[in-house]
Amino acid sequence: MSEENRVAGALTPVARFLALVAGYALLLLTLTITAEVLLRRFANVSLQGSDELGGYTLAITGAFGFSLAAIERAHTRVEILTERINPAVGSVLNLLATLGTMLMALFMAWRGWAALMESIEFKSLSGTPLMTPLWMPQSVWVFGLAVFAIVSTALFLHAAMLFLRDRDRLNRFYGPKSLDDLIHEEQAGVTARGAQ
Amino acid sequence: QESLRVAGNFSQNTKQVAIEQAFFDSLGENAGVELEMNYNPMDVVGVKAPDALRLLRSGAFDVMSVQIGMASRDDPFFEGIDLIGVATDMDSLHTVVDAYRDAFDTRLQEKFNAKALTLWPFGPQVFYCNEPIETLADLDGMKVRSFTPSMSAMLESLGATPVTLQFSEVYPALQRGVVTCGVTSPTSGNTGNWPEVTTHQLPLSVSGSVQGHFINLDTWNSFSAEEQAALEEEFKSLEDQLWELAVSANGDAVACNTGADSCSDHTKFDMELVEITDDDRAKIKEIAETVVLPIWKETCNNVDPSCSETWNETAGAAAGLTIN
Amino acid sequence: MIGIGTATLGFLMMLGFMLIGLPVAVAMFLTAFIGAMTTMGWPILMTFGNQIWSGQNDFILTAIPLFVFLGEILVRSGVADGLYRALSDWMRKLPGGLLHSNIGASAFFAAVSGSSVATAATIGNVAIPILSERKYDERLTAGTIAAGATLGILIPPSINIIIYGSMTNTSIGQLFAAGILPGIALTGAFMALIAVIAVLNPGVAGPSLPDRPLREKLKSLLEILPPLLIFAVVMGVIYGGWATPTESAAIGVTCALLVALAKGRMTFPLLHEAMISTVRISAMILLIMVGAHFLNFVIGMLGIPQTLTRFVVELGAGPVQVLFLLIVFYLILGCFMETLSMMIATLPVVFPLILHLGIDPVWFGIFLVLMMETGLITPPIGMNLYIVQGVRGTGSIMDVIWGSLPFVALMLAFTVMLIFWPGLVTWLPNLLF
Ligand code: NA
Ligand code: NA
Repeated sequence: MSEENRVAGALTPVARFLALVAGYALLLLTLTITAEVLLRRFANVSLQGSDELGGYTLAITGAFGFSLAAIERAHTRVEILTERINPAVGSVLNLLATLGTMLMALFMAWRGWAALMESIEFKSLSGTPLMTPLWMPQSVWVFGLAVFAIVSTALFLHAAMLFLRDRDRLNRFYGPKSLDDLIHEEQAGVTARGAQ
Repeated sequence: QESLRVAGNFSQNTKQVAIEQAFFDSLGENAGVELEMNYNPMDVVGVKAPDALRLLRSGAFDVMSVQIGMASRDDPFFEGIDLIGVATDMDSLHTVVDAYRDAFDTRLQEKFNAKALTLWPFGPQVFYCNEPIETLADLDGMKVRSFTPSMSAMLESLGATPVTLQFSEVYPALQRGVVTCGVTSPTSGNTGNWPEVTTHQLPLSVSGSVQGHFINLDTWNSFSAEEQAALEEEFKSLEDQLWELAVSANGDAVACNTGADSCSDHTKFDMELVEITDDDRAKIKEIAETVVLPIWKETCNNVDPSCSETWNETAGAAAGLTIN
Repeated sequence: MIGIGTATLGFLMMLGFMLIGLPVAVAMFLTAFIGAMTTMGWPILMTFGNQIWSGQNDFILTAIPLFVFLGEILVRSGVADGLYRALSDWMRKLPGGLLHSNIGASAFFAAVSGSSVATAATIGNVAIPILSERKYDERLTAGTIAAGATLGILIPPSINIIIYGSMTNTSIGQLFAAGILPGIALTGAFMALIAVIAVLNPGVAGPSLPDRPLREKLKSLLEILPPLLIFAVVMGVIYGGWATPTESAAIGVTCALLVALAKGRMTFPLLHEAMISTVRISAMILLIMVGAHFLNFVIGMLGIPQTLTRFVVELGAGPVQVLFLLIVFYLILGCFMETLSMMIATLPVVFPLILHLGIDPVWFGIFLVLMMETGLITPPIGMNLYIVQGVRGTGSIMDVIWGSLPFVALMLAFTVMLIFWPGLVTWLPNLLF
């Protein structure tokens, strides 16, 4: 088994918890829409707004999931070059990848915050029959973006530190997933799918 | 030479967009102002209608074609130009819009750093149903697509069940009977082929779907007084064209939807035309007074306590309605 | 408005960012950022928070995590494994074996899903672990799923077709009918291609298994029941007028939960793992969409689609030549734009040209959908490629790209065939309307 990335390891529980919250939001949405469809059909009643809640759920699913995807290196990279290149150059590219992710995450959180502030300033409502104050779903969303910004900053700082001290580990932790990691995950996956 | 970033209306609204595009192409020349235009319909650049006021305020766009109903998310005051049931035909809508214009523009300048150059409607918002109806009373018990709080309130007081659906889902929903009726303008419904999946058209207008062209105030102030005057004149003629279109095109669209011989400019279908009764006109007016206006007052006064008072003095006076 | 040269430069810059290993979403974002900074300045960038919110707060797209969730539950509760075991009993003797069930399952699922992306996520989730377990060629496995899933927007219902219909004043009912026969024909063509590849190179399919007795094979058909039931319910609620296509995705998840409960497989750990996996995959897709949305905004503002379209128009050719030029044009554009944005951005300029040339708008709608399908599996921006890679979670995106390549060629050949045999598209809608 390969050595664990301790920074990623420390952040994982937070990210998994957020993903679970988003997962339950999806479950709740599923049940709401199912109820909406059945009520509409059999009781001629509409909850009005399950589509609106669906939109919020999607935005929050993304915001809450970005961190986990970053920690687990699930954000897609094209690895044609990084796979073959020599490790010294590779470590620069891997550092750049964490830097780029951090910059994008910081920008999103910053501008997301600005959007939220505008919604509060204008007392904006959703403009749908639910008349949801926009700051409610948006603050949950901005919270997710902020966590993503913090997580990707931590990952970049860790990668930068490793770049100065131990580039081999930088490549193992922040490069494309190695065969080792993959076998490890494969076993976990088989266990998860249970006895067959 | 001034370079203007312009976000136009939705490209589905082909007639309005064609007028807009031609207008902006020749605006500089016609107004005698050196202008370089970057015009794109807003869906082409992925801009969403509710964001319009924010995009104008920040200067991301210099001029935008704004769907006022959606942009009112950021200030319900603007929705006051076209509240459900206040104006049930295009002439009275014109009177109401003109009465509200100054208050509207002042508010836009103060809060959103933008100026209204045109205010015009898409056209009457009318009913398309896939079951026989004769009057509004027949909507009782039917599922009808709704997209604003006022519309839901109106439908509920008619005994209908308002259902919220995204616009792109309305056609299949009407086809499969998820909803019985939808509300849109005769031209939009014709363009979206709604008559394929509906049978009865009630051309009673519940609102006019008012739109506007707004310009960022910093951009506006960068023009000289003469330039501003010339530009205002040009925009005035754009507004007149779009009003003219709303009246003539929607008349033709109703004729085409219902298969009349006079149909000339739209796709011909064979919906049944439902006659508007005086009772129905009265009913809509009554719902406006008892349901729609009180709800709007609460929402709008929550942002600005003088909201309903301003409305009473302007739009309300023109329409002969008062919010108590 | 900028020239073709500058546009190409921007494209190469994005390609460079991707090649040096920046995450795809980041590469798109940075390219857009630099493009906006150099041509339009700060105010454009500052409103991007509102635009991300508007882009991600979208009910239609909610179908994506819901269909991913549905797939995750089916995979983890063993339903999908059962289905594949059953299918393998029947398909194992075909050259190419289970690769055929990837295509079949995609076509099957496309009839309930309005989006190719959701189809890719679901079928990928169900099929990839099973085929990987059976030692199928990784590239072709990924390729069949990425390509098969493109059927999602050709076979009705289809969100893209609804948007095309409303933008071009074309009957959506006719367009839906027009997609059915080409959908079936393309499914058949995919299967034929797999058979040919498997005959030429038997190694691509897993080791051949002995045939099973008919009794056993019939018994294993029972395993097909749960997914068949979900299919029937999801179809039923749409075509019976109970729900919109997006709502049907939620109904599908409810059914999948009930099936897992009935099978006695539903536990909290299973549910939680399904949720976490769903959120991780959806977030990966959504971050790329943030990048694509921003990039599309900047590309649109710079007038790049119009520049390219004008270039095509100015060559002044007849209908067939223009269609061939459009194939090349959309193939290039499909390399760096998300497909729906690509359609929305070009239609206002291309569609009048099509009408001018007397090309049937219903036929052109299907042509355009085929070009979008191709765009979904051409690198560097091909949503299905990334989704299949995301679901796989192992190996390189290059495997998915290589595996999809034969299908890209086939789809282009199919599109060309439709130019010379338009009846395949227009026959059914003319019969029905
Ligand atoms: Na489909
Ligand atoms: Na592509």
